[in-house]
Amino acid sequence: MMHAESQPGSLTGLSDDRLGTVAVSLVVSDLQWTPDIAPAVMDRITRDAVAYPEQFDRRPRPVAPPRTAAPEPRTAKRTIGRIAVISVILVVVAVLIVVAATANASHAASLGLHGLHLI
Amino acid sequence: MTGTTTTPGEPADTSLVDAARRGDLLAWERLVRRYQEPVFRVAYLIVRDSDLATSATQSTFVRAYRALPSNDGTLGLMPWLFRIAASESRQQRRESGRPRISSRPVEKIHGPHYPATSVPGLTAAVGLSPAEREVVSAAFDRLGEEDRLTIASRYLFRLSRKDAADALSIASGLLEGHLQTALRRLRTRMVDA
Repeated sequence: MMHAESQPGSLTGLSDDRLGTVAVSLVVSDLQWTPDIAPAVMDRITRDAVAYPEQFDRRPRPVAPPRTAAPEPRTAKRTIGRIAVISVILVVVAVLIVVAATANASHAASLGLHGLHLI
Repeated sequence: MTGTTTTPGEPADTSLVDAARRGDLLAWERLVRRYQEPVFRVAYLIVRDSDLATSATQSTFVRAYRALPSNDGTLGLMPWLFRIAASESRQQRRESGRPRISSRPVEKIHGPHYPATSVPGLTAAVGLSPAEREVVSAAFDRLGEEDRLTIASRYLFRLSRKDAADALSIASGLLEGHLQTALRRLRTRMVDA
């Protein structure tokens, strides 16, 4: 930022810092008084706290109890679903293995390699 | 949450915030009294009307109190309040149907009030003639809201670079660029005046 000294009567000679300071101080110098809003604020908060107690409850929340061992119905359903999906995947893999083995056997037979697998 | 202003012998912001978060209303009231003036000034810079700024300041502290439990403490208290105040002030201005930038207001405060503390750097304007002061004020009024808040974050509230960037919701590395741009626009408006 510039720190040039201002020339009397010359606004263009004001440094950035001085111009900023002068500008805000002139605007706020309109304010000879500051409203004391604390009583009104506390009154509004007190009234709101009565009207909406749940929004103003500042007591510490109780610690949630540990979950019981018994699974909830939703959890049980989810487990059954997972088992079903895994079963389907296992069946598909088994079918693929059987198909691949069958194809290999057919291919070997077509080449007349019966009995040569021991060589 | 980090403290920004603590008078010796007074509890730190952090301990008051912790107490308020546990439901200590007296702790929150102390923080309201500590920060009501800067928050009111943020609101005033946006709405440029004392009544609207007062209303926005009240809403800021009510909303901040309700948000305390969900505040993770990564922002300093002043940057956090600055953001909420800016949001509340924009909302108040929208609801009031007032134009984005109003003419210079006639100062009036309704309800309880106390004398404003002196503005840091106000003496810097003493050497200017009334006409020059009017040129600067009018040029500042014609700036966009973000430019006004950027300049105020550094020269009125004297926030650190990090806190100013947090308050304006920009990356810390971009702050100086934003500030330079805002000041350049201010100079342009002054020339245009």
